[in-house]
Amino acid sequence: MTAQSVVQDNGLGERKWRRRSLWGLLVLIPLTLAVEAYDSVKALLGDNDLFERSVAWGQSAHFGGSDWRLTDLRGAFGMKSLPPDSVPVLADFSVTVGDPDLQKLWLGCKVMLIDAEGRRWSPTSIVSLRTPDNVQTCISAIFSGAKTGETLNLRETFLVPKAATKTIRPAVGLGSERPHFLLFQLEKD
Amino acid sequence: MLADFAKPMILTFRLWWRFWPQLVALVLLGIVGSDLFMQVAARAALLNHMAGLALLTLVALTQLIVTVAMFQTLLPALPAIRAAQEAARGQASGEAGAEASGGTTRLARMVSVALLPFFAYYAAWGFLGDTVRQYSRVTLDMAPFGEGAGNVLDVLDSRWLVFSVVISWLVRRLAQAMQKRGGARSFWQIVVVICETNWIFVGLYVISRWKDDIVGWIMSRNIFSVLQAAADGVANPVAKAFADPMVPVEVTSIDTTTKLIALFFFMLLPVIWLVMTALIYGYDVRDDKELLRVHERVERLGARYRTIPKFMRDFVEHFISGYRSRYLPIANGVRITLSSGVVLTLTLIAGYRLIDWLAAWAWLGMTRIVGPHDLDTWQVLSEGVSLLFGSAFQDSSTGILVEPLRICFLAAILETAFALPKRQTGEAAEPNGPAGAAQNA
Repeated sequence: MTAQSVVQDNGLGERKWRRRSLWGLLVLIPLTLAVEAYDSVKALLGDNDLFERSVAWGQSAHFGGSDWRLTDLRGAFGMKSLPPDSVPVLADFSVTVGDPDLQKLWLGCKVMLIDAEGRRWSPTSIVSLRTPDNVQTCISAIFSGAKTGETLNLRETFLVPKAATKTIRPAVGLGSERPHFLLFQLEKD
Repeated sequence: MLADFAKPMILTFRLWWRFWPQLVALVLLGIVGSDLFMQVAARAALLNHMAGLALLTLVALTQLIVTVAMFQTLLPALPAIRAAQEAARGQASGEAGAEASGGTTRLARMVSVALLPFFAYYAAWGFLGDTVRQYSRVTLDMAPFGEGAGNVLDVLDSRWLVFSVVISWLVRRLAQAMQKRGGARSFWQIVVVICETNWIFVGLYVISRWKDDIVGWIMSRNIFSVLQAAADGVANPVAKAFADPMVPVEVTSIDTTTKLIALFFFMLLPVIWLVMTALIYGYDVRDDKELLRVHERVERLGARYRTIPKFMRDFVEHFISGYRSRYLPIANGVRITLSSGVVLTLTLIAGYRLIDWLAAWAWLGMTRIVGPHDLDTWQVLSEGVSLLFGSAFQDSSTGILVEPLRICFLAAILETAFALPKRQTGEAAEPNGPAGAAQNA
């Protein structure tokens, strides 16, 4: 084998490997991204309410082993000692317990209000309104020891800007259902 | 002078343009491979801590193999280095082995040559600690609060490590016996390499830990504090002449000695990488008179060493056999580069650091372009950014845009050094050296 043919050989082999590598990149780049980002993507999907599941007014939706229904959403106007242009909003849910393992299924329960711009509000404890004894919050309901078939009345209190009250919709996210969450429509929708 | 500076730079980009698909593919393979091995090691550690540590060597070995393979890919475009290799091969034609064997065996041999210095480099720059830290983090993720598995790193303090070394020695002997018997030679060669890696990896990490203990013991003696005070006084005579007053941290300055030490290590890293490059290419380049002379002296030393009882020699051989003559040519490659002019050496240091610097800024710039998002989203995005540019915040992470450029640059520097006119004339005048030079390779 002469030196010339060795060089030519190398040239051929090189071109072959270049082509192979280019094809390989098509597989390797997504594969590497997938391997590297697996944990982060899992955390992103497991910890965030990303994809809404719309629930029509008056309907109930099976979510986290139970049936969720929005019963009321109203503003409590006329309260004193609140920041100007802010309104307390009460969201009431009626939940029929299916799977009673709430401590597992409802872990990380988050009720929120979402407006047309996508802004989100979490419940507040600044505003405290009197509630009947049988009304609980999402978190306290987890430890209520409710049995299958029981109905829980949940209420969350929010404080939102007055301007946002026109478009806000209540939403519920549970650890066992993330990245999906329920977005409840109102009567006027 | 500007041409001297520009030449390796241009060659770098030419190499990169010609080989980027292969290089990027190799980097990606390395990332996936080490990630996978890390997971395997962590899972093994939950069953047995020693097995986890043994498998951890594969992570470091993957990095080494990828580096060697990247340099090998560039070889067809490096005529001066190839010419030097050819010349060396012509001289050592009596030697059987490397040239006749196939690609896998060749790669395995090259890996085993680069093994010890690579790990020394790895340990010296704290990457060994990085890998071990990464490993303990992964296992902690799998067993929160160390439930069930306990502390996976406790084996580092146990005497069972000696067993691990003995086992890898036995397996290596077996592999060598099988290799001699013939059949699946490259497979057995790979087994030998893995055993060696295991020993070096475990050994170096443990030595660095024991070293800390020993230093700690010495530091706890009073005599040392006296010595240290004296040494500090010599290093910074003026500063220590006064009692140190309280100084607000924002007006403190770093003293000259610290600056010089930092500068030294700043410049050392590129040079060490050049040694690695020379090592990988230099495996075949053994053609220098002075080095042969050194080599003979080493051989004489070897004769004396043969009087040691065989079983002990065997044990020592496990660690040093082959290395004795293998590393002499490497000194050659580095000497060539460092003696080929201040400009080239400066180009090496500045260029290497420039690549690092640009990568860091590219990383930062990219994060600005992507803009603000919530933390969970950014965690995902950062994986993409780090895949492109590597990340200074992650342990030994390499970017697919940066790593190939770095490898091309190092190869270009070495190629430029080998292609210098004064070297070529020197080579032509060189007489044939004794062929025994390569006996131990």
